[in-house]
This record gives sequence, structure tokens and C-alpha cells, in this order.
Amino acid sequence: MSHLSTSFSNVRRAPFQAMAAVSVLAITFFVMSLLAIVVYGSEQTLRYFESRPQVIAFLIQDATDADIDSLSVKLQGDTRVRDVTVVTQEEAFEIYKEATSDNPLLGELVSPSIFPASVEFSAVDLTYADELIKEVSQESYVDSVGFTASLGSESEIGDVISRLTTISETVRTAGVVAVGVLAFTSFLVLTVVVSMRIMMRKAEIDILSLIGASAWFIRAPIVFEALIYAFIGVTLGWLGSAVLVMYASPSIFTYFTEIEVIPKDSTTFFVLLVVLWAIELAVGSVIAFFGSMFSVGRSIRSVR
Amino acid sequence: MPVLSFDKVTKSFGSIVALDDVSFMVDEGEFLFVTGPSGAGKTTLLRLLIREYAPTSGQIVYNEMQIDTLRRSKVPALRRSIGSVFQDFKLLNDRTVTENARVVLAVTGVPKDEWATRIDNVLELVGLSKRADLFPSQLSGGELQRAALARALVTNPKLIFADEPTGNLDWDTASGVMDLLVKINKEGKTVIVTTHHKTLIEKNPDIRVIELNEGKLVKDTKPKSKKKKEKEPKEESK
Repeated sequence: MSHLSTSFSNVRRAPFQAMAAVSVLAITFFVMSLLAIVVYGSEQTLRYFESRPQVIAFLIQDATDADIDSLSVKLQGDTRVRDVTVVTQEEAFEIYKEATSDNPLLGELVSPSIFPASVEFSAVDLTYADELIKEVSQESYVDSVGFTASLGSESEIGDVISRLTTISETVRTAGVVAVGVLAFTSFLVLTVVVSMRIMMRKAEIDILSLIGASAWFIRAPIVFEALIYAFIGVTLGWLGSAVLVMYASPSIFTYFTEIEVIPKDSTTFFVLLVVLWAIELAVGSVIAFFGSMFSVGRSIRSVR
Repeated sequence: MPVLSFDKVTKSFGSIVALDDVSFMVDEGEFLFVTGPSGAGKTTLLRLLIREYAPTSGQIVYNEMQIDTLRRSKVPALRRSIGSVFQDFKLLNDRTVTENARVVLAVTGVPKDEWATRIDNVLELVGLSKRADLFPSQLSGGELQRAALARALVTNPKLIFADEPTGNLDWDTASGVMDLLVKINKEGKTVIVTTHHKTLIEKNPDIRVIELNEGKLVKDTKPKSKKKKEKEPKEESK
């Protein structure tokens, strides 16, 4: 019998221990998958705010086309700046009309001249935003400078950056702590289950050792058994979370609208899930391998 | 040429001395009885030979391999090279006779295509062909002994060490197992048998006997016929 088939028959011989090991691993990887998706979502949110035109410089009414071009060229040449867009008074009026299309009367009451021309741009890194705002504000033809990445009560873009970074780091830290605790619990449960299996097979291990079986020959079925638990546990946990996220995705898309906290494209979403599964399988296999080697090492020493 | 030598071997467990300064040699192809009362140290000899125990002092050399200083990683290879028949058989209870033999073939790394032939041959040799698919719990004492012997023989080792192979058997069965061991020895294998079955030793005067008592080697009796054979050529040369 090969080591793998021996492992499968060992799993069948003690189904309740197998179920205990698989359940703990499934719960761990279910939570791990959900946390990974939440961390991905928070990263996407941060990236979304970074990618939006964060700063809008509104020009004074008397600003000439030359002034607008001058500011635009200056910003385009700045390495801290990207995505420079000029919005003329006419374009601002068009945007206003589109925004008030459900009430055309509002559009008819105003003329393009009341809308200031503006230059919108993003910082390569949000940390440059503060100094850029200060520099642009000093231009004589700039009336005011605002930022669009506000999450609520922030009065400065620095607050937005710090709030987004805090949220992202909190999610990541909480995720790492939760996954660490769960992974350690899984390691312990797997070690206990494997130790119990070894004690049940103590006589067999003793005999195998006496007839000259190598350490790997004795360990292999036990290690493979733990890897089987890991594979089933990881797959069940991952599958559960994938189904949950798929079920909740319409609500997620509605709530977050423009922010792609999970990919809207089904292929990208599927690839993301497969990558997550592969990573979790690797993590699960490492836990199973070291858990079983640890317990088998201790138990076999005590047999000899 | 000696295939095995014990040189001033002592094994103590705390204040209890299981073997005390024991020295002897076994030639290749030789048959040897190790006898003595219970607790004399017979089983300790086997355990030292397969390095289940390490000697407290002295040297054990098997097949040019110094066992007393053997590294832990080399122990499985040593055990695979010796056909051990344990007093309590040590068969895997959840495997059939055939499967028990298969396990040892897998452990030894014998190619799979040789398994069936080897197992068939060895089961026929020990007379267990019809019991091949039975589990140890379905076998009698004599059959268990034969199954253990089959497992020891299937890898074709140079040395067979059988610890009390006739221990709990009736005379006929014990005699049958003994005939089998003699047959194996005649095929060129070195056989060491521990026994306290005096009749068995008396019925086989051609076999060398080592007697242990309270861990000490008290007697090493060379076979009479061997001495005779050694003399015969001299007589012829006269």
C-alpha cells in the first residue's frame, strides 16, 4: 500500500477525529478568507481615493486662458503630480447641467460665466497633497483650492490620508492577529489529533521500527493524513467564504458603488479567489506538515 | 569467518545486569542455540543485536558493522538486514499474513513485481499458503509463529534471529518449526534460536549451544558432529 492510500484508510478508520481536525481548519480558513477579502477591499478603497482627482484649484473669474495653461503646464512638469485636467467655465457649466438634468430649469437660470474654471490633479503620493495645495494656493490667479477625498469631518487632506491609512492598517493588523490566533489553534488541534492517532497506532509504529522501517516510512502516512485534513479544511473554509462573498456581492456593489472593494469583472474575481485558495493551501500545508512532524517526532521518541 | 561477534558485552538497567561480560562469535551459515532460564538475558541479546538497546560496555560487530556505536540513522538498515522473529510475534493485527509480509518488503524497498513470488515461496516454505488471507487473530499459536518466520524470511536476510520460536507450542508444532529453521539453515543462512526447550536441544545434537545464566555466558558447547567432521579429513590424510 502506498503512503497516501494508508493515510486515506487511517482517515476512514477514525472519522470523528478527522471531522474535528477538518472542522477547525475549515473555520480557520473561512475566517482567513473573509479577512483576506476585507483587507483586499480596504486596499482597493485606499487606492480608489488615491486615484481620484484629489485636488481642485478654482481660478479667479478674471483668469485668462494663458493663466490656465500656465498652471496646467507647471503642474504637468511636476513629478509629484499626475492626471492634470483642465475644466473650463463651459465644461463646468456642462457638468452642472448634467448634474441637474432632472430639473432643467436650474440649468437655464445660470450662465457659464458664474462657474469658475478649475485645474484638477492628483498627487503621486497622498503625502505630497498638503504641500501641493499650499504651493498652488499662492498663485495669484488661484481663488481657492479644495480636496475631494474627504471621508467626512476632515478639514485637511492630511487628516484624510491619516484616516485612510489608520483604517487600512487597523484592518490589516486585526486580520493578521485573528489569523495568527486561529492558525495557532489549528496547529494545536492538529497536533493533538495526530498525537492521538499515533497513540492508537503505537504498536504498529513500534513494529515498523523494529523491522527496520525508516523514519520517513513511519512518518509519511501520518504527515499525509494531516495534509489530507489541511486540503479538505482549507477547501471547505475557502468555499464557504467564496459562496458568502458571491451571495453578498450585489449588496456590496450597491453600497460601495464606484469603489471596487471586490472585482466587478467575474474573471478577475475568479482569479482572485483561486489565488487566495492557492495561498491558503500553502499555509494549511505548512501548518499540517509542521504540526504532524512535531507530534510524530515527540511520539516516536517516546515509543523508542 | 564470523558474521557476528559479541565481545565482552555488558548490558545493565540501573543495578540490574541483564548481560554480564558476554563474548562469543557466530560463523556465517552456522546454527546456534542460545539457552538458559527466564531472565538469563536471551532476549536482551536480540535487542542488542537490532540496536533496540545499546550495550553498557563491550563491542558487537555484525557483518563488519559495529552495532554498539552505530548512528541512529543507520539503525533501520541494520534491522532490515536481520530477519528477526520476536517472542510475541509482533505481527500487525489489522493486516493479513500476506499484508504483513508486504509491509516488510515495502520497508526493505524490494521491487513490487517481486512481491507476489517472494510471498508465495515463503508461505509455501512455512506451510501457510492456505492461511495467506487470514488475520493474526484467526491463526493458531503455531501458525502465528510461522507467519512471523515468513515475514523474517521474505526479505532473504543473511541472519535469522528467532527469539523463543517454540515458546508456547506443543511438541509436534515446535518440532515442525524447528525442522523449518534447520531447513533454512541448510540453505546457507545463519540462524540463532533462543530457547529454553531442553528436548529441542537434545534432539538436535549437531547444533552449537550457548548457555546463559543470570546474564553470564556459562557454557558454549560445540556440536559433536562438527568436531567429528573436522577430524575426518585428518584421518583420511593419514
